[in-house]
Amino acid sequence: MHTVDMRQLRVRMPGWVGPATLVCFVIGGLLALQFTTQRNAGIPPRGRADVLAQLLAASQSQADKQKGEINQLRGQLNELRRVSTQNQELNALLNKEVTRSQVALGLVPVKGPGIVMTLDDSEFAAATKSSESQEPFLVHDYDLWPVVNELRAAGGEAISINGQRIVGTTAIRCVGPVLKINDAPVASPFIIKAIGDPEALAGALGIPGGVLERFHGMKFPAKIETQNEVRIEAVGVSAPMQYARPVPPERKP
Amino acid sequence: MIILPLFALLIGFLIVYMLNVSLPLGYADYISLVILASLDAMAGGARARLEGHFDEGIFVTGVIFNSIAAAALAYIGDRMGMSLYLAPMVALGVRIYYNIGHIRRLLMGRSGVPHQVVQPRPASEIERPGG
Repeated sequence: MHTVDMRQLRVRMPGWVGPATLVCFVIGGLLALQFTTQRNAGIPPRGRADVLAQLLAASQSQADKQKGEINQLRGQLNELRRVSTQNQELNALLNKEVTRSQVALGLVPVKGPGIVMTLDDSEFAAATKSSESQEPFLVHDYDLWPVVNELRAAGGEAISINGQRIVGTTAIRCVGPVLKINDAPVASPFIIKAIGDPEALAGALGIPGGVLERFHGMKFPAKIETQNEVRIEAVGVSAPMQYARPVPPERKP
Repeated sequence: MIILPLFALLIGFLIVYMLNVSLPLGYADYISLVILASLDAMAGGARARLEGHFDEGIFVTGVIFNSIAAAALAYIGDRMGMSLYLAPMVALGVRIYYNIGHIRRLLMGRSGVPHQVVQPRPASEIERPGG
């Protein structure tokens, strides 16, 4: 047989066993490190269906809730018609409606329970020198969009980023090196406030494979705090509508 | 004796896995290169042992130097905006396969050279460098 002489082998054994054991130990450790890193960073390989099922259930219950809201609004409309002959009641109702609209449009400061999320550039950003390689480690407009989106989806009633109220006409965009919200320049660290069910809001951001997990994967220092009272500023300047005109309500034949 | 390295592999894996440490995603490429370099050294070392000219010094320095060289090349590539990490990845990968092929042939008692039929030699005739 063309193999190594057994006696020779026995003498050599301690020689190769030591280094091989050491290197195997290192490989094992590095493999585990890589596994943990990938697992903590990426989307969880399993359980994605569970998450989606939960989302579906949540959105269905939301749809049911909104159906209820439609019915309620129809009732309100009927009530308005009914009381239109009685001026005083109408005034009170209109006032209430105006206040409600102002709150919804962000024209007045509001307060209530909610969350405060802080978000800063990635820890990598300080470590990389050239501005081009820093690029992926800075907070961009596309990092803030999903946050706002998730907060809205989770029933956030009022949202602001660094004091800029997010309203229907708000744009969040990067203009060169500057991030602009409502045309006002903002910079990191970002303080994102939202009023709504604190647990629902925090849960929406912290969902596995969600916004917060992605931030942590890239070492963006992101933190969520639930608070009993969050104050959110009114929108600064609301430009007058130049083009949009209300469509007159359709008359029933 | 082959149990010992395998056992060490398992122990190392379990220790780090239990500690649950994780590096930022940016280092993932470097870690995988170091793993690849170590696997290459293991394959090379196994082949050398089967061929009877294993050298601890060459083995250990090979692991360290190859790891550093691969990581350095990847780092330079990152700086230059070039996917230079592919170079060690392909080179090491090819070499691992090459060595595994050799090991398989050696274990089957045939020559390490694929397209060349070599007559089996008695053990006493096998060259032993340094000996």
